[in-house]
Order: sequence, then structure tokens, then C-alpha cells
Amino acid sequence: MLLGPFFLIMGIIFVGGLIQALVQSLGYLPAFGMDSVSLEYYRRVLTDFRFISSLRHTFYIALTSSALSVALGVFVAFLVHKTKRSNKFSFTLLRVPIVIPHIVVIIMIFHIFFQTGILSRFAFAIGLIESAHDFPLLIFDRGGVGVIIVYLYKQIPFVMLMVISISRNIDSKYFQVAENLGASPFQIMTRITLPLLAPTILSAFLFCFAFGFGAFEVPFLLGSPARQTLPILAFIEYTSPVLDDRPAAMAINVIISVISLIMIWVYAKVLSILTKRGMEGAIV
Amino acid sequence: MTSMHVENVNKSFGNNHVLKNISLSVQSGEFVSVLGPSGCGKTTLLKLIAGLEMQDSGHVYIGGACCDNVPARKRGAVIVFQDFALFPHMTVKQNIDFGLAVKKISRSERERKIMAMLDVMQISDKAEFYPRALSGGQKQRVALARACVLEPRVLLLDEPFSNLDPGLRDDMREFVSKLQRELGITTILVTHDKEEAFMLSGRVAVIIDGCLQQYDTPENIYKKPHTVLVSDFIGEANYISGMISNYHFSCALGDFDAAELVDGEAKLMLRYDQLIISNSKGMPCRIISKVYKGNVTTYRVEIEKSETLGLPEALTLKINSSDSSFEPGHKAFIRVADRAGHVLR
Amino acid sequence: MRKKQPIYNALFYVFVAISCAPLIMLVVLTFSTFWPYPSLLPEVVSLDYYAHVFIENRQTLMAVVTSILLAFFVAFVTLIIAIPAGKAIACYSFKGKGFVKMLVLVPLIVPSVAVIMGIHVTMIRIGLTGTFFGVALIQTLFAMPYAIRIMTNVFEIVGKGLEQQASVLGAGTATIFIKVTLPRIMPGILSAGVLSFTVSIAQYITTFIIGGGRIITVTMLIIPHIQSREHHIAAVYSILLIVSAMISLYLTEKIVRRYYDMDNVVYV
Repeated sequence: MLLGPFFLIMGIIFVGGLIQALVQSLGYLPAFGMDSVSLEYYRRVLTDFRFISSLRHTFYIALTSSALSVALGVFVAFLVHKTKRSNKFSFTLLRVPIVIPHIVVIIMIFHIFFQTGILSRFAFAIGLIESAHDFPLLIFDRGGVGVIIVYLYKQIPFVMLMVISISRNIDSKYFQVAENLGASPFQIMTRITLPLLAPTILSAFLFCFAFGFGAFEVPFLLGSPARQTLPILAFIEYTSPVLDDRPAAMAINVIISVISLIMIWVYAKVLSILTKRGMEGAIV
Repeated sequence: MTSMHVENVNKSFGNNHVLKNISLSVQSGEFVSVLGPSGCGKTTLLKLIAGLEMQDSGHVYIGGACCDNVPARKRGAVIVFQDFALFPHMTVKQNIDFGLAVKKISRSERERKIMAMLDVMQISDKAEFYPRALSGGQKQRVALARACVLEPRVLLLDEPFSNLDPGLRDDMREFVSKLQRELGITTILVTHDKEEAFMLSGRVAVIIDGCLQQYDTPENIYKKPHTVLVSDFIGEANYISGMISNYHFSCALGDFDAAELVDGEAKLMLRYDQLIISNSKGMPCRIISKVYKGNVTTYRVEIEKSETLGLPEALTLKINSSDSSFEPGHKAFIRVADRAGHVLR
Repeated sequence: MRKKQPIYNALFYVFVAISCAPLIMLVVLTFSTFWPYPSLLPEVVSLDYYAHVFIENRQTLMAVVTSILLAFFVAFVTLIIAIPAGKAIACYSFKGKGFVKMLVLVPLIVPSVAVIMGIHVTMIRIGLTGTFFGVALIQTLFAMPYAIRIMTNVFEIVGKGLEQQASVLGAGTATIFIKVTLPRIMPGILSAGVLSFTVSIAQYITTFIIGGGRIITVTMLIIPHIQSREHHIAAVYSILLIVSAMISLYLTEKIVRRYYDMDNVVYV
């Protein structure tokens, strides 16, 4: 009963949205006079080289950004712990990126990393490059560096915060016991701390990966026109004046939704294995 | 086989002076209990010995060598914590292996030691279980195994039985006692349970308010406490005022030996079971109340004031007796049991 | 170990600097009227961009108001959903709880673009496209996971002991909620509200597709400026967005604090 409003919104908008996408992807759009059902659009999408390269690129962006975010986020959490600054003002500054909207981060990152950005100007000033064109292309590039940097800026503090709040809940006795049994600080970290944080790190990775996989604005504004992520590909098809492209857009949407749902399923599975081992309490 | 002693150790947390000038020696292979009320600094003492906390002043010696500058992981003084603190992400076997693995001992050697220890602890069938699937007693055995497998120079037990069900507690106490004798590990047990301390250890150190009050055999602690503080903590007792002169203490109940005390005011301590109530022998008294407790009955009796006996006021005493036939209001007689009675300041 | 301490400190401050430096860049951008390559500092500094945004563009004020109202509305609706949901997940055991816990995360994981495009046709049919309410409804979907997560944590800490005590003492359900539960979960509500607010403020593609160009928020003004490389104007709008959001949240917290006694409010 208490979950009623939640199920209402989820049911109508979310499930409704996905079902609509599914129906349209099969080519059934009565409003546009299309009422035959077929898998034609899936065939079209899946054999399109643009889709295949976009899929690969999307995975690349999501995987790189989430792996780096998690690694650096855990590292920063470690630094905060070592420097005992979790209650200081400097720690608040460290969390600033979390509240800045992505589109604002886009502007900032552009002017730092673009060929005429501040880094390039510094490089010029110290004689590393002779003109703006010598500076490596980090924005609109095929490697998606600019896009990844934006994700890192937003996600490193997010991962750090998750790790710190969960590690506060870990009984400090485990560390004492480990030390008492003869473990060095490094051994305590690799054998106790990191394994105990595994569920948290897994959650953080999932969130970062999912965001990198499905975000629209960042690759839309900073990505290479030659290498588009799946949501952008879907958007382009969707806004295309050719009516026939719309079911194709929906097919792409259905495919990315299915991939996401598989990720959640895998996540739930791994989490339940970890929970069976007695590592509860870290489920976010 | 290692002796251990701490010397003039002090430790404060902020304004809280937890340990005051504690000195304590434990011989090789000895089983000593540190007994005291909750929050008296007992656990802190263990952590100082293990090196998990650093004393403000004083020294810790293990095997005769000062180890103030030896880090915890190299001291060989292993604690078994109250809540066992088994690593939740490791199986029983991995938990026991932990201390061996970090020392880079060969795999076959580790395997052999773990198997032997699982056998000693009678938990061989639980080797692949995760801690959450174990009962309290099994967790305790794993925690003990994890410590003992390292062949520690000193084994430190921090209230190890307080998290167990009462029935299980007795079994585990016996088990630990037997284990300690077999392995011959120098062991220090911290507890607030006097029975436990008396039952398991050769000597008991009573710490109250951060001070070492008395370090003695269980029998002496019970029957001959040095102070009222210790006496009260160990058990209920009657205290009767009197005077010492010429190493003899005299009061309303008679004369007692006070060989170790100088002249002056003192008190006679009589445990409830050191007085005998009967219908014939001793001083006359009146029963005031009676509480039936099954195996014993506790009576409160009053001896009327009497100038001749040196009693300016009526004296109230409590007595435990196995005889439950006396009723409030009735007359009875009491006497002090043979060789009972201890004089203290 | 001691020897490494200065390295840890230094690295810590490197990360603090990385967090803050881009913000400085943003502020500098809004003032630099003329900043040719390769100068390290702007050559002409003025308030021209601010003038452009505030005086020449009449949409600005309306967009700020729309953004803030929308964000408040989304936070409100999200809380109405998240408070009971959080309570249900934290305090009661029911069949399929594990599934519901995962379901809560789903809107966070499945790309918003996919859902929005799917629902678009239906929204058109029931006439919700281009409406304030329609946009708010969709944004609520994406704010929900965060808010429910926070409320679940809060209810797990608060528990139901006090409520049971109150009901034993004869209080009715409504009285219990207002007098007992609400004051205790207020810090959590505030955190969840703030997070929902920031989710709404940052939304672009939702407003773009469902709003159909009729709901103009500040983000809707920023994007075209980024696309047309008028980053300085976009930066001014960004600052405007951040500052107005901060002021609204600050005032809200002030008002809430006047009625409820709170120590710790955790932002994010």
C-alpha cells in the first residue's frame, strides 16, 4: 500500500514508456498509418555498421569512465582517510562537483581541454607547442577523452563519498584483529578493507557505467560527430524527418534498455552471492 | 613459552585516566584473569599488551624483552575479542589461515597447521562455512583457532564467554581451560565475571577504577580481600567494626587474627556463608526477614544491643543457610564458621 | 608510514584543486569579453555578458522562475512517493522485497532517452506534452531512485519503535505521522528533497522532448548557446542556475529549520 505511488509512476511512465518503445520498434504506429508488425527494424538496426560501431564506442566510453572513476574514487577516499580530513572544509570542496549539473561541467571542461583552452595556453606559454593546432584534440575527439573527463569530474567524488560512508560502517575491530594477527597495513588493505568494500565498489561501478552508457547531453555536446553513443544515435533517428526512421530509433532504445536490464540482473546476482558470504550492509 | 609483565603502565583517553600505574607479572604458561567491573580499563590493558594502543608511560615486556617499540603485528600477543570479529568475507578456514598467510609461510605447512587446529577445536566439518552460518560457540572456536594457530607468545582473551548462552558458556570455559593446559600458552583472560575468573585461572588481578587492587589466588581474593572495594566487588558480605591491638582484632562476635595489620580501627568481613544459623549454639538473635532462593535461604537477623558485648547499637547481619526452617520473628542463634572471618581496613 | 604523510597531504590537495579549479574557469569566462589565444588571462574584462543575459534577453527571468518552480514541484512529488516507499522497504518485510529494491534502481540504470522517447507518443495523446505537469512527472521518475534510497536509509535508522510506542499510547495514524515520525525524518526529507531538486535542475533531454519547446528552463537556454559556441553566455546562465538553486535551497532549509530542530542535514 505504501509502495502504491511508486508503482503507479513506475508502471505508467517507466513500464509504459518501454512498452510503447517496444510496440513502435516493431513498426506499429497507427498515428502515422503504419500498422504492420515485423522485426524488420531490428534487422535494419543490427546490420547497420553505424549501430555496431556506436555500440562499441558506447561500451568503450562507459567502461573506461566507470573503471577510472571507481579506481580514482577509491584512491581519493583512501587519501581522505589517511589525511583525516573527512570533517574539514577542504572535504566539502572535494564534493563540489557532485552538485554541479553536467551541462555546466561541459562548459568548464571545454575551456580547459580544448585546443584553445587554458591548458593549451599554458603549453604555449612554456614553449611546448607552437600553435593551438599542436595541442592534442581532446574535445570532439574520436577517443571520447573530453566526454570521459566530464564523467570523471562528476563521478570520482560520487564514488569517494559512497566508499567513505560505507567504510565508516565497517567495524574498526576487523582492522585491529588483522593487525594483531600480524598483517601489515598493505595486507590489511588488500585482504580486509577492499574485500569488505567489494559490494559498494560494485554498486558504484554499476551506477557510473549505467550513466556513461545512457547519458545524452555530454556526448551530444562534447563527443565526436563521427563516433556517436547509442542514445544520440537513437535521438538522431527519432528526430529524423523520415517517418520510417522512428521505429528504428525505438529498436535502438529497446536494445539499450535490454542491455541495462541485463546489467541490473547481473548486479543483483553478484550482490546476492556476496550477501551469502556474509557481506551485507553495503547494498546501496 | 613466554613470561609477560607490564610495569607502571598509565593510559588516559582525554581526561579519563583509564589505567593508573598498573604493574602485573605473568609467568610462562600461567593462566591469569584480569577481573573488574565493566569500563574499568581491562580491555585497554589487553590492547596495550598487544600493541594496538600505546601506553602514556610505563613498559610492556614479553619474554623478558621490552617491546614498547615493537609494532602490534610483530609482538606475538594475540587477542580473541569479545564479539570474535571473524572476517565476514572469509570462510572458517580462510579466517584461521589469515595470520599464517600474511607471514608468508609455505602452503603445505599452513594447511597442516590449519587441519590440526580445526581438529583440536572440533570444527573440521565447518571449514568451508562462512561465519554468518555458525553458532556462537562455533564462532568462538574459530576465533580461538585463528589465534592459537599462530602459536602466540601470549594469548589474550577479552570477555570471550559473555556472548554465549549460559549452558554453552560452561562447556566453552572447560574447553578453553583444557586447551590452555594442553598447549601451555601464557594466557590472560579479561572478564567482569568473578566465577569465571576463579574457575579458570591460577591468579586473579582485580582492577577497579583503573587501579590494580589485588593480585592473588582466587581463594585469597574471595576470603582475604585487602580492601572493602575488592571484597564488595567479589561478593556480598557483612562488615563488623572493631579494633586491632597487638595483632588481634576484637569485636562483638569475638577475637580474630590480624597478624598483618597495625593497631587501630578495622573491619571484620564475613561472607553470608561464613555465618552459621542454628537453634542452639552461638549468640542469640531474632530473624527479621527471609528470602527463599532454592538451594540457599538468605536470612536477615538482628543481634540486640548490649553494652556487655560491646554493642552500642543493634547489629544486623545477613546469613545464607541451607536450612530454610527458620521463620521471621522467631529466635535463633548464630556463630562464625570455623576459621572464617577476615580482617581488613 | 609517517614518511608518506606529506605525500598523502599533497595528493589530497591536488584533488581538492582539481575539484575547484574548473569553477574558477567558469567564473572567469563570464567576465572575459576579449581573450584571444594564446593569452593566459583575458585582455578585456566587462559585464557585457551579464548585461546580455539580464537586460537584452527577456526569457531569462521567466526561465529561472520555471526552473526553480519545476524543481520544487518535482522535489515535492518525489517526496510524496519516496516517504511511504522508503518506509515500506525499511520497516516491513513482504514478498518480493528484494525485487522492489532492485526495481527502485531501474530508472537510474536504464537510459532516460529510451524511456522518454517511448512515452512521448502517449504523452502527446493525453495532452501532457508541452505542459509543466508533464515535464515534472517525467523528471520525478528520475529523481525517485535517489530519494527512495535516502528515505529507506533514514527509516532503517529511525525504525518503528517510537511509532509503536505512540500508537500504544493511543495516538491515531495521522497524529503519529505528524508529531512523531515527521520530526525525526525531517533531515532525511530535506536531503532527499535537495537531491531531487538538483536532479530536476540539471535535466535537459526530458524538458527538451516532453516540454516540446514550450517549457523553457535555464538548461534549455544553456544548450543552444553551447551548440553555437557562445560559451560565455552559457557560463553566465550556468552561474545564474547554480546561484538561484543555492539561494532557494538555503531559504528552504532556513524555513524548515525554523519549525524543526535538526543537527545534521546531509547533502548528497
